Amino acid sequence: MRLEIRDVSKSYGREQALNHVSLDLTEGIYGLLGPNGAGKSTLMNILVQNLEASSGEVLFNGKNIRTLGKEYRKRIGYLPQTQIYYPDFTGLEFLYYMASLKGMDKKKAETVIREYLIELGLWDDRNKKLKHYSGGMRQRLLLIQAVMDDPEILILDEPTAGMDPWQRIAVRNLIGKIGLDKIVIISTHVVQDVEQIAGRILFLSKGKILRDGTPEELEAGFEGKIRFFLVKKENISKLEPFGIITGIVRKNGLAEVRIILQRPFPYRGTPSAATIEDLYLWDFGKEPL
Amino acid sequence: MRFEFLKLMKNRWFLGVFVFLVGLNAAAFSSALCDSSKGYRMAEIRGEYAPAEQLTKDLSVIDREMRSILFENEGDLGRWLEYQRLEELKTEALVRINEARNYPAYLEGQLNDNRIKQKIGLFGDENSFNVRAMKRSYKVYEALVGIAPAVGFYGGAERFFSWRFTDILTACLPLLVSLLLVVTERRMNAPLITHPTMLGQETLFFRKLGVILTVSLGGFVLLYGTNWVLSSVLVGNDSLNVPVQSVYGFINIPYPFTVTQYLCVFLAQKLAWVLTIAVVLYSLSYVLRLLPYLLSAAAVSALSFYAETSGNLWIRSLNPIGLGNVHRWYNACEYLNFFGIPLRQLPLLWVVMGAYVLAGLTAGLFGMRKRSLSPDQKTRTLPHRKAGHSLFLYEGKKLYLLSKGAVLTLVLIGLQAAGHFTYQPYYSTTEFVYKEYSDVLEGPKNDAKKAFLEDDRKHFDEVREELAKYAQYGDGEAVSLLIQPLVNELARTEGYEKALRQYERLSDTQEYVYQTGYEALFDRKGIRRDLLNLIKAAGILLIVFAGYFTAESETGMSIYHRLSVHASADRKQKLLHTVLFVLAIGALSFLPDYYTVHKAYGLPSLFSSAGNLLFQTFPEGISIFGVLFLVNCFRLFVLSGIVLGVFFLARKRKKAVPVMIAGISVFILPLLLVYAFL
Repeated sequence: MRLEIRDVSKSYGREQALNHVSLDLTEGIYGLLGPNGAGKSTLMNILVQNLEASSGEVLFNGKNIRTLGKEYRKRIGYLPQTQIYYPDFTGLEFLYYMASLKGMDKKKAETVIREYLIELGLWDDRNKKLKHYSGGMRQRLLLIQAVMDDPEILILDEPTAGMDPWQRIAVRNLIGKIGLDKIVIISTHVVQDVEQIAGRILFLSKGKILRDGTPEELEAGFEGKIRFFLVKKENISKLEPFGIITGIVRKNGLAEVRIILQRPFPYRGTPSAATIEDLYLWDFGKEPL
Repeated sequence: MRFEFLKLMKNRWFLGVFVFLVGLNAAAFSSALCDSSKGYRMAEIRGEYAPAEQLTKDLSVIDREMRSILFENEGDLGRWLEYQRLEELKTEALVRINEARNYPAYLEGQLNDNRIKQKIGLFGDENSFNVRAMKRSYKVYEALVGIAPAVGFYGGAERFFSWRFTDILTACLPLLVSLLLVVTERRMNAPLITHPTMLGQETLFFRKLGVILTVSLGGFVLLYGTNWVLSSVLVGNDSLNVPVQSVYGFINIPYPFTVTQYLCVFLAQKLAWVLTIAVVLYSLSYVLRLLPYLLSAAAVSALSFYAETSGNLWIRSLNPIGLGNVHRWYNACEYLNFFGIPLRQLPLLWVVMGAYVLAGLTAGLFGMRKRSLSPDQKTRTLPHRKAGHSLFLYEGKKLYLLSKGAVLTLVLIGLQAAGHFTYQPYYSTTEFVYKEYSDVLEGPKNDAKKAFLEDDRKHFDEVREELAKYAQYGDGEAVSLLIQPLVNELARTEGYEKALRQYERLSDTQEYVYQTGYEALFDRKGIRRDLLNLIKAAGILLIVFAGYFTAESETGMSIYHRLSVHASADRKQKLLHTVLFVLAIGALSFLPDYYTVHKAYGLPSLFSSAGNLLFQTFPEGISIFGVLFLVNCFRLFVLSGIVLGVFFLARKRKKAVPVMIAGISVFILPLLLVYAFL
């Protein structure tokens, strides 16, 4: 199974949302990281055919997804960034509705829906109207609709938004299981989620791929840049020009500051292991919020 | 399709509006069936059916009785009115009976007429379109020879076939369902999640279309079924297995149908029209956004209304709303000129409907792909403007820009300007002369004016006498030339007499006022214009305030508003904008009519007593301006009521589309109904 993104660009008027992006994806989980407006949702919408690329093409097993049409769509599951639901439908009705749109047969849908509802803790609320669901409950329900027909390509835009830590872990594990033999693309701002499960991470900035590699590969190129310093409270601001402060903890009456050094600093401090979040901050930390 | 139905069934407002439409239709049709404005109900005509000779005798007896009451028992008005009512009833019955009896003669007359027209060569040579069309229609009518319409009462069928308000209500159903299943879903971005699914594109498009067609079919059965039952129960029919030409007014139908067969054909074609409109409305909902969708639906309806009165058969045949006027298509044998080839109109209507369906589906599928592929991700960079801190300005932006108040105000200005420039005042010689006399007689009565009128009366008498002298010379050309100035002068007498009558009717406290302009404001046409203006204003206020009052709840901003320390100040700004906008729309809707009428006829003596206007009873103590002011206050009161209604609907429903649907049903449709009957 292979999904190829070949030189895909997308512009909205004069604004370039994607700029000649090329990727080659096989089974595994791909984490898509980038600040708001980097082009993540645009790329995902092109992959699910909600948007048409201005140029370039997307191939699934060597065939253009446009020409594949239904054949392609029956292989994808999609969870959009915004919560879309029919307020007067119950959870169960909504899932059956989506199952019918996915062309699932009723019996299979019944079994799968039941399993997922139990797994994601929504079984007891299945007959409640969606307008009475909390944000986290709706998000889990939307995730079920994305995965319930066992899609070969799963595209998830902010899948853990609004969930508590337990729910996040449950969802992460579910995605991890699916990603063993499927192509899963996850876009999120919760970098930890991706770090835990993604086999390959893509950094997207201003419509271009900035970094592409496994977490280990990406982190390896970052060694030595993260340091701890013990300083007095009033000296914390003096560290700021040398890099990005990623944490401040009180220790022995002083402040232990974790910093990603972007400039040479006269003191050595204590080295710390790099994380994907550090890379993220390194690449996008100085961008305006 | 089950889930699409489920969406509708779970929507209590949809069900409510559906029931409301069925109720409104039943109420409107019943009231039309039981209408007794002529002094009797249609059903009563049936009781007067008798042999024509008997009815003729009865009528002459009634005439004698009425004369005797009038000349011998003066004062017995009650009896006279009862006889008058009976006379009208029996006359109605006789006219109907005679139409059926005289059908063979009528048909023969038509055929003779056709033959003569073909022979005289006035309409072109053998190969011309007109002559070929006449030949073809001759054959059609010739096939009807031998049909003998039955003498019977078919008032129920007569009313059923010519009643058209139900068409509007039936067309509302696909509009309503399209708004709910397509426009509302698009506004909540549902295609983002449905479009990537295997069946979420064309299949879903056709599933939704299936639902819309089913609802339209259900609505059709319910609405027209109700009409048939009501017309049969409240007015009634004799046996329906008689030629359709037996029904009064259906004499022109060029087909050898029985009434039952005609009913089937009528319903089949009406249903085809309903389904065509459903497909077109549904498809349009994929192509257009909410406001353009509603505006284009209104614009097409308005244009169709005018197209129906067009003299051009092509325009009438292509008119999408006019296609629903089935009775009209069957009540004549007309041919369209297609490059000199006479095309029978009726089969062409099916082709036109087919073309609408095909064009609609193509556009709809294209719109489905285009719209679904473009979720609201487009960003538009506005020119840099300094952000202000004024609640008034932000509320104004919400009302005029986000809720399209500005665009719709411009649309209204355009409509009113078009109304002004297309207004056609009626100027006759009488009106011209009446105006001349009115200019002199304006103001209180006095001896000088009386003398002036007396002088002119003498003058007209002299002209008459002089004209009489010429009578002895016959009516040769020379004489005609000589008397022409006198005839012209006498043509002024009607205008003079109108002014004289008005002057003589004035009491000592009243003043003479030129009345034509005021009559134009208050006569039937004026009231219809008023009502149309009210419909326009109500439509605009509904669209704008449905968006404005739900802006916070639809976007989730209401939570911030509730928490804001300026919540009360914000509400005041909202109220202020609402009041200003209602005033502006009210003024733009109603005041241009005064200007139009003033420009056409003039509205003089505006501040004199309203009692001076003699065509209606106005109170003495108030000026004409005061009456106009009060009328406009009332109109504003009605508009405010509508806005208040929209406000409460918005509080209840919290979303613009359902508020619009409910508003259209509660405010606009009843106004349209009144307009249709006025």
